[in-house]
Amino acid sequence: MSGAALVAVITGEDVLQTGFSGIALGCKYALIALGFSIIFKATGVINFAQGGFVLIGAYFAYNVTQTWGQNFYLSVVLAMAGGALLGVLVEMLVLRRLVNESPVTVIMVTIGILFVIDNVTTAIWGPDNRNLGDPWGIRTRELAGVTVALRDMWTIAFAAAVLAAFFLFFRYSALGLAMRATALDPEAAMAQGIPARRVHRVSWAIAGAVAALAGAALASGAGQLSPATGSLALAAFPAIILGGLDSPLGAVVGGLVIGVVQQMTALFAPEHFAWVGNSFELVSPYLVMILILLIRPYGLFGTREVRRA
Amino acid sequence: MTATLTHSFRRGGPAPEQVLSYADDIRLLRGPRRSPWRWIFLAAAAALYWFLPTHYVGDPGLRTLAMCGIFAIGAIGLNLLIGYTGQVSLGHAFFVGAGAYTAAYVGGERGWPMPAYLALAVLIGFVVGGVIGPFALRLRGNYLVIVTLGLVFLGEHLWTNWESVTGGGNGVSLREAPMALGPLDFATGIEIGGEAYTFEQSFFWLVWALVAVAALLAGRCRPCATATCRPRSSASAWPATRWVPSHGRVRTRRWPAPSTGCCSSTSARSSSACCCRSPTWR
Repeated sequence: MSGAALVAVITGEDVLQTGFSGIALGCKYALIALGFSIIFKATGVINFAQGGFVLIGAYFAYNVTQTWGQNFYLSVVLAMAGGALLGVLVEMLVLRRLVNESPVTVIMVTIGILFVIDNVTTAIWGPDNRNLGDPWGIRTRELAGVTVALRDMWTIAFAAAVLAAFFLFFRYSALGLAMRATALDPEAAMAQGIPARRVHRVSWAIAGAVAALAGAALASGAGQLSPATGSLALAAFPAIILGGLDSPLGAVVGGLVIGVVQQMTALFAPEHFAWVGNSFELVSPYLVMILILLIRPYGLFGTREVRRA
Repeated sequence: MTATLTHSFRRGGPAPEQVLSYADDIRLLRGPRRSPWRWIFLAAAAALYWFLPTHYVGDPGLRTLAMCGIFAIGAIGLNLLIGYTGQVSLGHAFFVGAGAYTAAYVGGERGWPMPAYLALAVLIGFVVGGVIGPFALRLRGNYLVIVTLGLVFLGEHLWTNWESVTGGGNGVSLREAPMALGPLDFATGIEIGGEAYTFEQSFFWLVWALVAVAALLAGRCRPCATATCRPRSSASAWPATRWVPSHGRVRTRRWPAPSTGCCSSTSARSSSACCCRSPTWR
């Protein structure tokens, strides 16, 4: 079998379709990355447990729809509430005690939390692939001549709504202002009477909530929910790095870029770059990340650190 | 302590247990250089090395202890990177994998003798670390942490797809690799003075000898630029010596790799099959 005979023609429609699913995937990454950058900006903690929040959020949604038989949309809202609660708990029980510890310690602790969440999730819900039971399944819709998955459309809508709500909150609410002030200069903010602890707690809560939403979106479709969902979320790391660690906007842009790159790689690599090997799309985000960092060591939107760490 | 201090003042030198330089601080065995405790410690270590396998611990326990030694070699390499230069790396598993696959391929598939495949595993780790070092130097702190994590994923892709060497998802076996070192054949259990020992006993001795070698090599790192010019806690305290730390960093980034490569080749031997999933960070 020669490679040339197998090459299927990739039409413009294919590219559009892939672009759309890439944006949908990118929205999920953007949500995860947003939670990550909020925490980093407010508390300076790199939260490796974010993937765990995504995983457990998806299982919360599964539990509400499948085990308790409730409405799917309600389950997403409840999962977000559960995720927020989990985030607050982690902050109150663990991270609060680690303020001013060295970054290495904090990173190792969050990795430990990730392992705990991973294993607790598997212990409760088992290792099998599950059906989230979302109303979209694998149905598709024609949109301007392009076939798009219904769940992708809903994911984009959900993500857009949540991201808009977050940026409005961040820009106009008093708490959002407090968060921005704390991120800018924690000591000056505290001197002005801004409760740093509440800011930390709220940022963990937001991160947990958006992670749960991303988890539900990642797990939608047929039999997509498994303990591996959490490691899918690791692809959000390139998104964060791409956008710059401390930039929420960068997180969103980075997420979209990574999502589109990943789907485009999945489309083109098997046909045109077969030599890169199977499922190259799983590593392409990391490759993009490394390339970008070699040119801009602080990401696309990140603040240059003056301190050499 | 007063006694020793007066003693050394009389000699005109500092007290032997005083930490005067960074090199003193990172010495393998701290404490006074001429203290009898140093020799007692070494004697106790040597006694444990010999008598644990022969008298006190059975084969299953020895297997665990050998595993501990293998992790210790990996940790020695990681300590050079994180402890001495402050470069947090989550990508150490990649170097472990590189060494493990090298050993499995040339030892298991090509039948090279043990010293040769161990040496090649170390060399490959050294070269890969040296290639990655300059790139890592462009990154700082948290960015470096996440990029090194990416290295693990890239590595995993490579291990899965480079099937002619790594065997893809099935892995490549080290079961057939020779383990003879001169007259001592570790694969069947060594024989010393007419006494035959089991594989686990022999393997324990082999691994912990390698731990000692790795620790000594790592200790030799201390006169290099990194150790003397760059306190492990912060580079920020030394802005004026910018080129020195970076120079040191390339060197230390090369260093851990060999010891890890070694770690992985022994580790792969112990598990006999080097599966592609095992050398990940999780």
